[in-house]
Amino acid sequence: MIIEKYFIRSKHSIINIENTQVKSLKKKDISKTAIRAYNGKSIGIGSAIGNCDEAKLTAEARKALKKNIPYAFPPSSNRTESFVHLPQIIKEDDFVNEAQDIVSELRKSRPDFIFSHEMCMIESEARISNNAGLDLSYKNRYFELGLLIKEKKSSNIMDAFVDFHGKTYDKKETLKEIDRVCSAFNKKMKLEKKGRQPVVFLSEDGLIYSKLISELDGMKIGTKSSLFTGLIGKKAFGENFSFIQSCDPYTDFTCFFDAEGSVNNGYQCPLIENGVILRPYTDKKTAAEYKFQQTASAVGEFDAVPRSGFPGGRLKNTVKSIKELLGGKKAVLVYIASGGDFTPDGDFSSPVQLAFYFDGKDFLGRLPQIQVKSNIYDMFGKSFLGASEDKLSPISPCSFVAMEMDVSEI
Amino acid sequence: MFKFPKNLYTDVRIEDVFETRIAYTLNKLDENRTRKYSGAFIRVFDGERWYYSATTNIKGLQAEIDSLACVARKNPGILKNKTVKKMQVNDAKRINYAQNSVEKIKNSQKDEYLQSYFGRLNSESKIKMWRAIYSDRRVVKKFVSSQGARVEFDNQKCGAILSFDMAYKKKMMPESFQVCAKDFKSLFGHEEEYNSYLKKCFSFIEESVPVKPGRYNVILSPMTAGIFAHESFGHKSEADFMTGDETMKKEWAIGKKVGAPILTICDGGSHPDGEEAPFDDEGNIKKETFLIKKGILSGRLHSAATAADLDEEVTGNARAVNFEFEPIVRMTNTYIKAGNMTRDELFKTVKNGIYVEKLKHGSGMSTFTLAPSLAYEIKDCKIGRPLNVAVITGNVFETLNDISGLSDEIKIYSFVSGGCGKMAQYPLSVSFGGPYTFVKNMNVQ
Repeated sequence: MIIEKYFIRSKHSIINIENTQVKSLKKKDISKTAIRAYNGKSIGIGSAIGNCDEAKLTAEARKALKKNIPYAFPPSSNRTESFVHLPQIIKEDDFVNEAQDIVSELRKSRPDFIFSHEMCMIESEARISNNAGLDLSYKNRYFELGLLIKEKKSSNIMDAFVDFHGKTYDKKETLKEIDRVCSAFNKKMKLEKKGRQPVVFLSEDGLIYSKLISELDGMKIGTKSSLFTGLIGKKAFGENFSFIQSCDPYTDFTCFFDAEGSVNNGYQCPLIENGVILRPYTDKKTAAEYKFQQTASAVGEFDAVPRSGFPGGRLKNTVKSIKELLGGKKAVLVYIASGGDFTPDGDFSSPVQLAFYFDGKDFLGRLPQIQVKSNIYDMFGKSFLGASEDKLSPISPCSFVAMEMDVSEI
Repeated sequence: MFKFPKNLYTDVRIEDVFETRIAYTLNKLDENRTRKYSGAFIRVFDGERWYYSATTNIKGLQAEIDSLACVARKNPGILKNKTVKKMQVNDAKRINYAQNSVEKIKNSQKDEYLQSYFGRLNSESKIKMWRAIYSDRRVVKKFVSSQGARVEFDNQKCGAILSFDMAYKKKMMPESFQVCAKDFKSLFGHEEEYNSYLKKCFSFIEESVPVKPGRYNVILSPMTAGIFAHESFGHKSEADFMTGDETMKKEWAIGKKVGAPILTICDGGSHPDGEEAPFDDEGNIKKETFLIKKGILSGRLHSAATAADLDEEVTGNARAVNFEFEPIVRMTNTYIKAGNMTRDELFKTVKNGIYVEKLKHGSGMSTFTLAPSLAYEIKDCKIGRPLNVAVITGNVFETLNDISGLSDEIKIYSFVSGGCGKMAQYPLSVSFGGPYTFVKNMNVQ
């Protein structure tokens, strides 16, 4: 019998900011442990939140085998790998002072705005090990600063936001980027042209990928209930469009192994390449059942039986810079688009609550609220302009994705 | 009992949780698990800042309190602090689910209940993939404070979620059906509703056509009206968006006209199907709050801190998604009050338009969004062809004034999965509802 331990721990130090003031300090350190027992036919799981007695959990896992939850796949084995990166981004003793400095600077430099939300230091840990030679561990520390921005004279709940996360903290760049957003917000512009035009999304905006992700599910494709049924191996999108599942701990701040302890070569697996749908994402069960390649896409809560899910991904960059991609044209940069969606047929529409005119370098000014429309096959097909390598700012995790869309004022 | 540090305000919330989850995909058992655990959230306040800790080490709570107190500044005047004065000192026990706790129901009974739905899912050729989940959760919360508050209460939910992917010719469509109740025995008796819902979904995939984008008169079903109330206005009633913000205080002054005279929106109440929270997560009693009464802004939702800042009364709306989080201002059960027309009379007022029966999701900034999963054209005052609609949007301030008719009965909906998201806290269990609601001139895409 194979006995496997799956352990996750998240440790947070959080400074809450309200009304451009440090309002609260929070610490959280939560660990969760599951012991899995495999007998070749079934899986049994024993689990605990917080401190645990592993022998007791192992006994629970063995007992849980009687529930006959089918799991006839060999657990991952014979691989040892560890990713540990715990840089000292801000000294613990300086963390509150840094937050105070930021808000104090903002009160002086941008008295026309109110800033709120939080600054966090996050230490994320995961480990999966078993008596079949598997021992994978991941420990990463990173920094996050998310600020909701509200113009003082506005009656909106929020008008803009900034979100930085990474391995470094640069106060000067942070303040510069916040100032850039606020300045552009204050400069109102008219939408010069309605109809089809270049629209730029930030790469971290999940809205545009939501339909791709739901339809690339191996279970949906295997059961012929996906929009992409019958399209595996076929060109459905533009030549310049490639979509990659990626769990690269060096760039994505995510764990490099999935909930079954599977790892992709180079931590990546292309799902769509040059417009051709290569494969859906799968866990072991879905891959076996529908004869797809397994893509290390098992997800689930710490004590759940792993199941197929999308662990994270990105587009393949097509050019170095967004400026190059736009070729001197002015584009609509979608900064906040909340609540849009696709129809079952793949038509897409979303209001854009905050958009800027953008020349590939500068935010030229704020547009009125607009609406963007397209279709999944157009967005990533004939209308897809490309994805750029450069970032929104030196401290931003976001690069750019550009496509032509139908734009109108709301 | 804890030894609370002097010259500071301290409270401790301990949550004892029992959860079950049984899941099947296409008749195969995916998982069958129960969890039983405790966690605690501690808050220390020195009059200027809060110091929080979330922990599962229940035996070490005193040490955790002492550690937070070391960082806080001692404040001899803490009891006179206006936020602390808003903290009620309640001594009450409201345990409603000890006798009919889901923990007492055998796992095999839960499994059998879930399996009772499989027959129909297996027999329909349009359903290509399905997943069925039984879920339950009972939480017992114990709250104590340095002021002497001592409150213990519980809540419980259980239910089934049946999600399925349909295919018909080249059309694909995901849908789901949920049953939610506060105790296990109330889960039964939904077969007719389930069968009729499946039939409706099959007709939808067969007959749906893309909507012609434009401005339409729209009738929202009780469920979508509830989501509309929650998203479009409820979030704006959460007073933490107003603290320290003079513009918002003026803009949202009580007594201002914000909607049509027929519109009344409330949060709270004791509706049997509504979210249950006799106390909030800082020990204050949950009240029914009129947010809009006959089109006039009448109230807002508060924690102790926001009530102190705005010099208003607490409403018992400081809620945390679980023991890992601090309470923040959240809704509980948000609904539009009934009007005076029958459903038929209401439909007779809309010659041509769109009826929205069910939503995938909604969002609420100044421009709110509703993403329908089931929408229909209204032709000659009757429900007609099913329509594929991506999103309905509108400006909150304009749309509340465009509400032109309300039916005379309301329905409240609770869900066993999903919930409301705010900042990092998702999903918080909430309920919502309302009557059939006629809104003029909505932007449908």
